[in-house]
Amino acid sequence: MLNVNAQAKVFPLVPADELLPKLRDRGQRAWVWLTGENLNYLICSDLDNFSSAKKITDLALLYGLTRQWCGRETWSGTARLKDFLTDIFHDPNFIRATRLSPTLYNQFMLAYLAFRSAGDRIDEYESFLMHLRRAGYPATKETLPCRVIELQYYLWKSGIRRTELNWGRTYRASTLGQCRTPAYLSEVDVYVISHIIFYYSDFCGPIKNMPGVERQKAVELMECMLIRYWRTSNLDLMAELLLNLVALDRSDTVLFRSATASLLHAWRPDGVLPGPGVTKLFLDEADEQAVFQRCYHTVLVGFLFCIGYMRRISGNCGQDVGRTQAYSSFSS
Amino acid sequence: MWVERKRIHHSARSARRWLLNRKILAQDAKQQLQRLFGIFAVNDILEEPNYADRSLTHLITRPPSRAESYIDADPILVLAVYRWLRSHGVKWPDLDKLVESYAATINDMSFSLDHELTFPCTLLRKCGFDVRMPARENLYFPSGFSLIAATREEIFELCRLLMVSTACGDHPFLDDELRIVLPGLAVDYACASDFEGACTVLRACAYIGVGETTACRWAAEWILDQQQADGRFGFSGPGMTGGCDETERWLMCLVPTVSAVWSLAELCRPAFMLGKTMHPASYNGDDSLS
Repeated sequence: MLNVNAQAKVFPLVPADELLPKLRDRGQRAWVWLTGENLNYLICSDLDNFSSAKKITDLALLYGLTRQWCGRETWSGTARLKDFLTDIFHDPNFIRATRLSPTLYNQFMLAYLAFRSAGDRIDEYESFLMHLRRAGYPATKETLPCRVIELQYYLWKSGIRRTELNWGRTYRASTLGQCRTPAYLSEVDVYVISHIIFYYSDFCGPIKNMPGVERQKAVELMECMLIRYWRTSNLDLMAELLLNLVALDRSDTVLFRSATASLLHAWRPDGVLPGPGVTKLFLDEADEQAVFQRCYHTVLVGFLFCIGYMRRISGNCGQDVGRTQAYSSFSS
Repeated sequence: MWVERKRIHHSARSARRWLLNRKILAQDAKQQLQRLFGIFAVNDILEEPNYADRSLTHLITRPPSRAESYIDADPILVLAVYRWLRSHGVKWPDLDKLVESYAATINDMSFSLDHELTFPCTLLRKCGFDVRMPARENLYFPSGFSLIAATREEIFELCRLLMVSTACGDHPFLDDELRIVLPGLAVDYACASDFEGACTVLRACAYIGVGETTACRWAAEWILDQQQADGRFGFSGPGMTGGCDETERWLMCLVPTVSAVWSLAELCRPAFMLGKTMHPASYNGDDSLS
């Protein structure tokens, strides 16, 4: 007789009305983990290192989106996060790395643009942006379509570009625009596709003016890939794809709620959402810095998923609302 | 048509040419049944039930010499091929005896029949045997989302159960979760280059009525992409490029090729094996090949 081992990754469906408090709770814990003492691990590494800059970009983006989405009910610790980022952007090594390459709009500049989206300005970078414009950048820069979309998004968010992204030639030339089947997509391709949806939806939607055919294709692709990466327990991509589905207005399905229940269950009480390939043994035995390096991106995108869902479903993604209820619901 | 019909027909024709290779006459009954079943599936895809060239006539008028190996054959394939041969007026005495023994065994059972016998019993009835049928009952399967954590073997077992219990989709099946998960699993297997996995899950999708979803189209197109220039399916490996003769290479690709055309046939017409009813005792069709 068939005896499917259902215990490993599948958990009872979370009723729709319980999803919001549970996501708020996990978001709360992820936020504390991201913006607490762990922040120091970001400056332990060399700041002029490209992968450090990527982490700073993600953090600056998180800061900008939290400010934008949560408004006055912004989360406690936001001021500390702003101070932390400001210190990094004033670090001579970071400034040097930003100005080093004339081909510019590199990862270091993207980090600043993400920071700028919250309305903050730093003179060194502002003057450099003017020099770049005079030199013909970013138009002079030749880039892959997905990078063009990324850059246009950051320019728009930072207030330098006035118009939002449109579903024109660049989209059509992108991986998502060209994709006819997911059968040959690599993991990197799936990340590219999920990021394209992030940029066009301003991360959690609603998406404006997306052609119906493209929307349908995106939903079907995301749902197929969600099943694929759920099976391999890749929580990083699961969180990205779930946020994509929120943006695409597909968060009321059984698939979405079942996958979310699985993601919620994997979230540890200390706020850690295990990164790809991270085992329970690793989490139990590795030091905090090692855990931070391996789980940072997954916790960050998991947090964005939580507040993105809260913003779209309840219109409120502040920390304070329902805090007591959220904490009490963790063990349920 | 959810996949371009012209492409499916071209692929099916090419696979049939490969299956009909006259130089190879498998002596093993199990292999011979698989081969004929593949041809039968192609004929259904192409809507050519009476197709019979010289190669096919040559093939079906030579029953396997090692009849004892029928014992290993899948009863579903046995019944499907038996029915198809009889509809063309062809008799293989050993095969006839085997099918008669199936019917006798079922009727001799003193206890109620398991629902897994639904499909064999349906096929036996279509072949003209008066056999009992399992009682209609609600079927219980694991929750669709539990398949996320299931092993390959468990998923294959579920697909087999879906085939026999629903009689390849002839009996209605209601489980919304499976309808969501199975097409995604078919794509997952395609992404993982698991040919047999994609074919098996795709057939199960056809049985539960979701064969025309976009995900199934993606999986079906991936299967079609795997066909080689000579019509066979299956991946090239070290054993296929050297070190073995033509017959061995042919046998290596027999199962994947039959699996592919079977899946395509189920997608084009679920429960195609059930086709029209016939009566072996009185059958005297005009399409006799013998």
